[in-house]
Amino acid sequence: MERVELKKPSLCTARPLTSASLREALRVMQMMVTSCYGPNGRLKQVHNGSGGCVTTTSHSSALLGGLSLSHPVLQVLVASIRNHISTFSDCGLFAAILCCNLLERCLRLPLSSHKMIRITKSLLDVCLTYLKSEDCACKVNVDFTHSRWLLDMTRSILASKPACMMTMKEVDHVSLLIVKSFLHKVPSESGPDRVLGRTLTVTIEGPSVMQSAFVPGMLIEVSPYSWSRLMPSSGPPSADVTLALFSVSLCGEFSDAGDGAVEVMAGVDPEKVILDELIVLGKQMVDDHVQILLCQKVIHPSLKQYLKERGVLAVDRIGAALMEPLTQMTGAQPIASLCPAPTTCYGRLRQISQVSYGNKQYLHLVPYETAVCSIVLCNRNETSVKELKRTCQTAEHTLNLLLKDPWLLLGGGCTEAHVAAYIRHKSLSVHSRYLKELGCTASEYKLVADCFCFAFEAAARSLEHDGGEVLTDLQDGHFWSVPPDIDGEHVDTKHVCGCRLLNKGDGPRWTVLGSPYEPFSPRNRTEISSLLLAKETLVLDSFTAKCNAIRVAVDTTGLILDVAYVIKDEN
Amino acid sequence: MVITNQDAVSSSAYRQHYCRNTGSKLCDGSHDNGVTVLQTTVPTVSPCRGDRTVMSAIKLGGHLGLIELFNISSSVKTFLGPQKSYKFIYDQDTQESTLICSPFRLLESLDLSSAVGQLFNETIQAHHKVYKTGTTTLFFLVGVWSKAVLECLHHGVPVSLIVSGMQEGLNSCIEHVEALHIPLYNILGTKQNSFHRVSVVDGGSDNVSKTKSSNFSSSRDGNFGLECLGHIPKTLKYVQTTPPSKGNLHSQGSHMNKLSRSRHFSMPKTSSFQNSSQISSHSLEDLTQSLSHGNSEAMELVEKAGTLLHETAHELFVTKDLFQASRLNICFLRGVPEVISSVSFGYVTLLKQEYATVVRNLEGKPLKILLLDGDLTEIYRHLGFNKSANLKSVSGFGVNERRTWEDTWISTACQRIVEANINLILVRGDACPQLIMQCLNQNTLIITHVKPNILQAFSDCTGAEPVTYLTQISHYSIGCEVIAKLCPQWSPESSQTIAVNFHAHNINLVTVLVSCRLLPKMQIIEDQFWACTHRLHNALLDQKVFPGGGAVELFCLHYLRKLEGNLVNGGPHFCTPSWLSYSMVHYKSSIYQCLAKGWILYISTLLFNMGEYASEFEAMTFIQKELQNIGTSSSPSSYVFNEYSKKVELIDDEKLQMHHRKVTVYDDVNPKVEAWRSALHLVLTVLQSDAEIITGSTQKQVIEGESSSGNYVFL
Repeated sequence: MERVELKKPSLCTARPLTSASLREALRVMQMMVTSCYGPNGRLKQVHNGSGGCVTTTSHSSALLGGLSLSHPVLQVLVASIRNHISTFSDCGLFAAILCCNLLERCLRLPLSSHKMIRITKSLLDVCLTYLKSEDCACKVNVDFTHSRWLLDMTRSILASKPACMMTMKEVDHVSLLIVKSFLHKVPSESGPDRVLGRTLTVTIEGPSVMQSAFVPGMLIEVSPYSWSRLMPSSGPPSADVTLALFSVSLCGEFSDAGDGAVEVMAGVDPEKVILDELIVLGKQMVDDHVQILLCQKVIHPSLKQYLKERGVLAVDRIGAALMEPLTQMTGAQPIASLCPAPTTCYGRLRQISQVSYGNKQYLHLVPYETAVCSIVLCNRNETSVKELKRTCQTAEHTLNLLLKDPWLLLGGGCTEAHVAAYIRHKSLSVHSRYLKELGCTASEYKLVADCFCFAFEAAARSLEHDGGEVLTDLQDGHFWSVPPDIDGEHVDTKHVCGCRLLNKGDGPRWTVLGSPYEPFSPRNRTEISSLLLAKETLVLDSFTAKCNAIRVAVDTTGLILDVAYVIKDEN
Repeated sequence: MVITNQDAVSSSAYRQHYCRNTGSKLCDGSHDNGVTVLQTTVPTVSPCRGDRTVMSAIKLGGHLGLIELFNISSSVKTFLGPQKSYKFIYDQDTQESTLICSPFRLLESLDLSSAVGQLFNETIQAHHKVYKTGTTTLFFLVGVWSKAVLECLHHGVPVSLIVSGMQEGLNSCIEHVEALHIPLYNILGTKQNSFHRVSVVDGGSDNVSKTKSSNFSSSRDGNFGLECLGHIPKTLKYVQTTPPSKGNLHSQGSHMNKLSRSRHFSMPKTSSFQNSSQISSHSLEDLTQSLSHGNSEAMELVEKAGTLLHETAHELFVTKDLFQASRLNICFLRGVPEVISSVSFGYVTLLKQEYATVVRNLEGKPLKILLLDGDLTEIYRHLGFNKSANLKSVSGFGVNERRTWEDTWISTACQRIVEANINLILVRGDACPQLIMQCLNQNTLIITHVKPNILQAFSDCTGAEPVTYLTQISHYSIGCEVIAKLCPQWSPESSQTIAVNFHAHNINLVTVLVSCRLLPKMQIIEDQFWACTHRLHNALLDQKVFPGGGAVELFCLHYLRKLEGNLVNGGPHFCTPSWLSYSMVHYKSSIYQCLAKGWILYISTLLFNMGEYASEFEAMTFIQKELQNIGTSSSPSSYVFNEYSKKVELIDDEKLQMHHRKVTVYDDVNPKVEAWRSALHLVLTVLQSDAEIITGSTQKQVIEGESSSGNYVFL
């Protein structure tokens, strides 16, 4: 007899945003992302509490990726940030901080949520229109004839993750590698069939970061004992190598028959039958003068032996990740069956050699195309290698975004402070007709605008973790970090602002960032362009990623403010 | 697990004890920035109501991680220095106990399941994987630096400044101790002489002058050694015959370059002075004893093995290739009353008594060998092969199919082996027992569980390629001319096993036979042997050594003190401008003191363990005195060189009395420096971590239980 259990009724919670537990959870979330932010941020050890791997990180993708949440509102928040990270890689923490701050302040306002949503939307428009306008004084146009901005931006990204444990010198070294690989994979001429190349990352734990290297082509790790077993007696093929690439397993197992059973006559050895097939395939390879055979999966030892005796280098277990780059790099088509393959499937390589990094041995495949290159990343232990890899991938992705949108924003908190100053000034003079369209009064608009600006300023202030004070100047609205208990008058002359654009002499007056100040109009682009050209190094952020992060944060806030009921299926 | 040693503490009780301690400590030390900020700003959320299934918990640990690191690593104290005390590890679950004497073994027995414990384990494993030595230093420094950093935090130094300040300090120390590098070619016959040479070289002097004096001294001392010490082996030969004059240094350099290239495949890397790294075999002996670090017996074996590997070579060069750990094998003769320790070419292994007759039959004859890289069983398939589960064999008489299949396989296998005329099969994995017995009847030996490096050595010298299946047998895979010999040191009457040596022409594999009276010590002897092997290996790889016995650390202490004396605000410490860069100068001296504290504790523990001083306090007084002496000396590096070559001799004197030889203690360069770096790296990573995030809900109960203490918040 079956037991039927009655379905429980769904649970509906009205006005979930007012609950104390949600506010508390939001605060915890805010504290968590805020404490990770920036080059001096703190690290989090993420693990599952039952002996799983521990990830020590301050990188948004690793931090939020592993998080499991109980409250639906938090789930919405984290989901939209994760979505942002998956498309833009950078500015994930910034988006989370901005969103948490905006939400926290908006929830305190005595306004209806619809009004708040409308006003924040209009403020978002003001903000993004400004950032995209020609007048914007906090952005830099990337000049691709010079690697300076590219290097600056890469350096800013790499330096912002303390778990990489890099010194300035090491940051410079790795930035150079990344920019090099970026320039390497951009096609030299444009055309319809031209695609952006790709960078592969090889990580080695143990050696110092300075031993990281840039290598054109691809590296395949080979264990030291398999070298002699791999290499034909004639040595590796030297130049203009024909290559065959197999995606099908050549390990000689009988193909999966699904649920059905296969009946074999006694005395027939299916394994031997398949092996004979493989040897026929091997013979074809030898006849076609293939010099290297790469297989995504396993190659049968007998086939390996057969190929080796005939001077063909056979490498197996290269993994799915390398298949696409190999296709791109050599022009080879992955062969997916044991049937004779047309010779057009074969690819070509310029050269094959043996290299070693750290205490590992690699087969180095040098292509004719420059599209694929590898970066060998070294760091002392697994934790820092992993964080370095994540950070480098972010930097690489951000560089790719530059091709589409060649702009960079001033980093180090300056953009946030500057945008806040701009919006404060702008919201002073809103046209009454516009207010009518929004359906709010001038004071209501001012309240929300203040919230909006405070959230930006709070995001900038999140860069400080050691008790220092953050000031802003009343000329350009930049970010100035000063020791605790020092006011604007005693700022050291050595001081520069967060993005290194301004020196002390450039700004006349300071006030504590986040404190109320008389709104002013920040200087526009033409007034500071001379400064931009003169500066040696700047701290720079991705323009595309930051703009999207702002949009995601404000939209998510709107979405969450709009939640009236939470309906939960209890079954 | 319970660890019992002099300190007699159980690891779990240990941790609990400390955790309680730290709890109160954190409450007292409310001026501690990091902790209070987190604890006051975040009120604890009471743990969830019943029905939540998925959630994350955040543990706000403050700097508990550093305390944990300190606790973990304090157990390694007695392993520091040449005179180690053993630890007895008792497993309460299995009632088994083991004797250990290395930090690496200790690590295997510690409970390191916590987040910080895992990081710690990861760091030590990474270091051990690369260097196989220097883990004690790493283990110990992690603890003392954690403690020092905690003190630094109590003085109110911002976390970010500690991180960049300590990194900077360590890097500049490591740059500075380059002055103490002793190139291997300087360690020639009479070391006193070469020491005086080197002591001329100071950190300030540039590379060229270093090259000059080193080159000069190496040749001079080389000849000096030849004249004075009559017992040079006949194999000894110097490439360099005429002493170079200082004038034509460059031509000399290129000349040497050519010479060594003609004799060697491997070229020393960059600078020309590395090429003159040929030393005689008696100096290798000196080097090995200097690197023995209290395990002179184990090191003697290593050295014998090293010399044996090059017995046939006409000339001996101390290059990177001279000595590789993969060419050594160790074989234990259990329960032998007398001390046997010998070294012989080839692969020695213990076989069961049943093999004795076959071995006697084969003894002295050239054997054909097959190398199998896998198991020798019917069911074995290469890695990655999945046997299809739904294959059904259809046959008329399906009686006991499994049985017949295996029997057929065995008879075919046996036939194949006999047909190929193979007498010896080395198998990396397991082998089918029936097949082994059948083969024994056919006068064929099958030896299982052979290490990959041994297979490789036989493959190298006989040209036999290892195969996976017997079906692969071809003329490429069969090696010839392997000779089996019963080891005379091991009389078959006394035991159930026999020791057999397999040898082939030009084999570059040496087996060290060690008898062991105390079975529990076997593991320790083996560990010591490999530690010595890798210490020598690393020294040869680096082509340079440090003076040992705390000299390098003392030199660092002196240097840090000098840095503290003239603090300047160096270049930018941070990529993004921050007030921290400008405030660095105010905190630098406490940060440097923090760094120094680690080394002071290291040296004092070392000296105390060596029995030089009755207490660590006395040792510290000595360190202060030495630091003053170095400070007043005109050339600190030469002072350290001269004093420490003398001083350490005295210490070792009583140990090595039977040899009537005075030995200076040396230490590896890269493993030591990297151990420092890794230790600091770990401490700083943990310092920067302020919270632990536990994802999922698998251990909700445990967390809830603990959360009453207020450490957890839930999301």
